[in-house]
Amino acid sequence: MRNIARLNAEIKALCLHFGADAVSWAPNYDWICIKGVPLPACLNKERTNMLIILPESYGYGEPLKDLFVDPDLKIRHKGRLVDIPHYFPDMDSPAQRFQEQYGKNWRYLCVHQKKWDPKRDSILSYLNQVYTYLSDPFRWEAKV
Amino acid sequence: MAMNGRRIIIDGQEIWVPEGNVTGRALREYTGAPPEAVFYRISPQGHEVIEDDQVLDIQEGERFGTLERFVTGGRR
Repeated sequence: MRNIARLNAEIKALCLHFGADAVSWAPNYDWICIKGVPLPACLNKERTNMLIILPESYGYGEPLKDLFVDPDLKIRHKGRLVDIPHYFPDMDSPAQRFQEQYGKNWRYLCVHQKKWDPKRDSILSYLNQVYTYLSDPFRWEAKV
Repeated sequence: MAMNGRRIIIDGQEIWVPEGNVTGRALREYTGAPPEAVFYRISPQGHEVIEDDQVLDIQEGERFGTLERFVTGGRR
């Protein structure tokens, strides 16, 4: 069971940050969608939409792990636009269980929180981690 | 009383750092951020991750942040 009071407070914070029109969420809180999230300048687009999958026990210590973004992102690296590491174009990925989302023009970006601290972590702090990853994704080693 | 040094912002808080180059480790110590935290500089290009042994030429008013480490998963 998710911490609904916590989620509602976080959704309110997301609406203040991105604008109420940009934020939508599932009635059962399975996911939150944010339109027009800013991206680092090294990417080929200035903004992306994001679909954040909320774990079953969100708000009680379970970290955020699953994120979908626009399917056409590229990064400038050594003078060329190249694929972003850990950004999976197909179902042969850690996102196999999200068949419904893959049918809706999303692409899975594999950035996992290691742990979740109620005082420090939130959906906004996860988005900060994602932004940091996308600023230089080649520096992070693959860890499963 | 006048203060020598530069004012920077880390996680929204004003911090004064001394003149001259500063290491990432020193910045971490100023803020009390734990060793496992990721330290980054905010620039128009994005977030530049700062290593502890990195020597930084810091400008007045620069902004930094910290965040929890994260992991990326490989293809299974």
